[in-house]
Amino acid sequence: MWSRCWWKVLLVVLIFSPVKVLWEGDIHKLARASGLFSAGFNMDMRGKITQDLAVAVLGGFRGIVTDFIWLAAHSNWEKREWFRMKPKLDTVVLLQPHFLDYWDIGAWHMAWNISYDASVNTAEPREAFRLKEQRYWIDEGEKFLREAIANNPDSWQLYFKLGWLLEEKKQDYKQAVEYFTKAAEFKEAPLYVRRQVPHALRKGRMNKEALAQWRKIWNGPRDGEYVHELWDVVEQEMRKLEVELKVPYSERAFPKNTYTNVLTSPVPEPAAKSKPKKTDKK
Amino acid sequence: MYAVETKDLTKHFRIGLKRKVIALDHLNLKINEGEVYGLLGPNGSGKSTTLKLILGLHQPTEGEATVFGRSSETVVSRLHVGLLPENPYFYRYLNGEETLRFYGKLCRVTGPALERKIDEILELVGLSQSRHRRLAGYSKGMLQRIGLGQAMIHDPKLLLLDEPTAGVDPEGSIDIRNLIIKLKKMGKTVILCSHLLSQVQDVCDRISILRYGKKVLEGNVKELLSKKDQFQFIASGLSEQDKRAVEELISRSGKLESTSHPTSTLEDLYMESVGGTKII
Amino acid sequence: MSLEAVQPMQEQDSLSFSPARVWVIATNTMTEVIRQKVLYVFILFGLALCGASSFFTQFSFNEELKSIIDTCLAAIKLLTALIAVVGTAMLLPSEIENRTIYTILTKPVYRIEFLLGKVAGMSLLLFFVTIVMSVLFGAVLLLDEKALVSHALQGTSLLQASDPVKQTINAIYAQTRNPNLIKAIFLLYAQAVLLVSMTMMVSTFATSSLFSIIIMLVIYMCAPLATIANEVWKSQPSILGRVGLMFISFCIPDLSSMTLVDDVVAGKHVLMSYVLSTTGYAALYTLVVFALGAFIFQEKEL
Repeated sequence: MWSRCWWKVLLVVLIFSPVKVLWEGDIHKLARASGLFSAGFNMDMRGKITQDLAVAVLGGFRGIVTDFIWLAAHSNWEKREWFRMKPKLDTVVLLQPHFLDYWDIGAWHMAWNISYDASVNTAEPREAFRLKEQRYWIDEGEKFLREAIANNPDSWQLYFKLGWLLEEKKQDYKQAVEYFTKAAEFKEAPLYVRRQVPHALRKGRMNKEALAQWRKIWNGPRDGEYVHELWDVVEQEMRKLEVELKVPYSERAFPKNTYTNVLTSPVPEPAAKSKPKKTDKK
Repeated sequence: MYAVETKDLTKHFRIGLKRKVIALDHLNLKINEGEVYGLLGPNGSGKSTTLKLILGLHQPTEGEATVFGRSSETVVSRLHVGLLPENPYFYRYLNGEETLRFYGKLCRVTGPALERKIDEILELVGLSQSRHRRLAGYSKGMLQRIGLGQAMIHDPKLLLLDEPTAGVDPEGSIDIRNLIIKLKKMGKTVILCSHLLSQVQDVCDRISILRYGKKVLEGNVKELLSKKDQFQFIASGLSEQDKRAVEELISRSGKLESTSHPTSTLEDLYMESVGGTKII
Repeated sequence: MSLEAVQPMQEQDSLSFSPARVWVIATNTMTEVIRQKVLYVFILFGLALCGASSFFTQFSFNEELKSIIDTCLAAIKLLTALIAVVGTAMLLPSEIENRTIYTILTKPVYRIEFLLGKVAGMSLLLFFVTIVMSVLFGAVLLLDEKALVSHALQGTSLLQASDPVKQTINAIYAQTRNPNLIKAIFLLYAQAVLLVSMTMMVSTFATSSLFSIIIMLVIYMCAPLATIANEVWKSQPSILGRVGLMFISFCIPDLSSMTLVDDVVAGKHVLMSYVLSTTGYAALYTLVVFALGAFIFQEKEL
């Protein structure tokens, strides 16, 4: 059998092999250009998952493997096994660094849930240690989100979440504003993101800057997507700040006792809240 | 032109890296059109190898085989050839009719011509009753018959039958024998491989006997078997006196070799009790 | 009734390649594989679907949808690959065991027609299997989408919904109505066809179906290393080394390029040019491997 066809086989292999290698190179170049397959497989991963799982990951079942590690991390959370949970979260984001929910929810677990649990830990009678522990987990959450941004620099959500964490958990308003601003610069970011900038400024007692921000929004475009801006909230905040800052009447957008007619302002959106909610989670 | 001709047909098989087996050694055959030719020989004597070489399933190590003048290594040579392989199984999930249709379509017999052909062949091989039954439920003999049917679906001029009666009951065996005789009458060339010598004797015009891949004997069956210097009488109702007289008469110019009662063959006896043949 | 009544076949001197014969063998192959109860995979797929959609309901919608998509795409990938490899590996040995191959190849049928029929039949069957699984997958996604959207709206209509709710709904749609899913499934199918062709090639010289299956499993397991093999080949300085590595590289198709599950779930956009290039690669690979199989099968002694 082989004696009569080996040369044909050899010829085909010799001709096709270089074509194959070059074509694969071309495919990989295209993939890199469109941001595909950036989550490769590295030795770091090898240290974190068992060999069986590594084979599954390599065989194209990365998603399922990640799902189940995530499930395991979740059950750790329910049992309050924080130090078992953290490595699993690390593995999950190592395997699928582009699925934003893993970063977002993982950081939220650390900075909110775990840190709170540490602060009320009855097993630790010394308050200083409890606070140290709380601080540690908030910092871990922050680190996690910063890593998330390094991996996904093109998603406004992560900038927003980091700003949120800095504002809520670290009271670092200056940095929070910085990240909210970055998030708001994305075209696809929803309107509440840009409102978060003056909100954070006010919390950080940078009232002047806050008012400037609100004015920028107020004087900005009102057509297109901006129809949905909560104009009454903007107005309220501006009024408050103008009073607090004792802005001369002549410079106020809303002089004393004058009210803009709500009906003439672009679109009244009564019931909505200005702050984003942490929905979806229990 | 011969139906099949082999010239120094030789086939070696390699076993492992170094050992080789000579399955067929410079075989020369000339099979005429319209002839029923028997290939005999013990197991491993090269019968199946010869068939496979004629059908192009194997490539010869040396020499060549031609079918109606065309090299058996070409696909065109198979236009007029039908094969019934040894112990055929076919697709268990098809019924008799579907099996024939499948093979018919493979041979580019299509449409009403194919349907007509299917009816005809099922009738011929006696499977009209079981045409809608799955082959999984066929008996050995029925499989053999449907095998014969598929070999004839494209009306080939040459049929190669490899042990057509192996494992078939005597009744079916006789059916198949009669079918072969009918094929011969229709002018088909048949090559028959068989161990059942009585059957070969009944239907074959010529035979050759192979041993260790070599042809050891070839010739016309009747000529090979007849003992020309001997003679046989079969008589009935002969009195003891006359019998002695006959014996005396023979001893005048010849020599009495033996006297005995003729026996019917077990096959005859069996057929008598089972009640004749069903088909043809 | 007698045989003389039938017109004898016309004398022919040549026999051309016939797609009709390929089709006859292909449909027969499909029937054969279906009769092997291969369609029970749909039950497996259904179970995987149920598992995926119930496991993660306690999580956010994104995680729930992700797990469904992950599981479905992985199930499509695994099941089509298994059918492709195991199903194809059984074809030739069973034909030889049943001696049907003798009856077919002794008819005026080219061996390449037979081989092509087998590969085409298997590919058609896989196409059917992929389509059915995709439809089931799509139905579950849409049902889940409906449930999630109505949950997000909490009784209000879409027009009255607030900004964050609308954003949530858009995020749900981005996952469930992702056109990249179709591209991903298409590439999984291309991969399955390539596996069929490769398995067929291996089984033309393999002595048993088990042997073909083992070889194909090894190839499948090594496939993610194709990229590495590619890199090593490029960095190899000596010609001899390159030729040696070429054979290794030849045996390892780049299947990971055809597995886009991760990226689709992460919301990455898959360029059409990427899909085309990868399909072209798979098609050429399939063709080349088939040609090798045909060369070997042509000389095979049956």
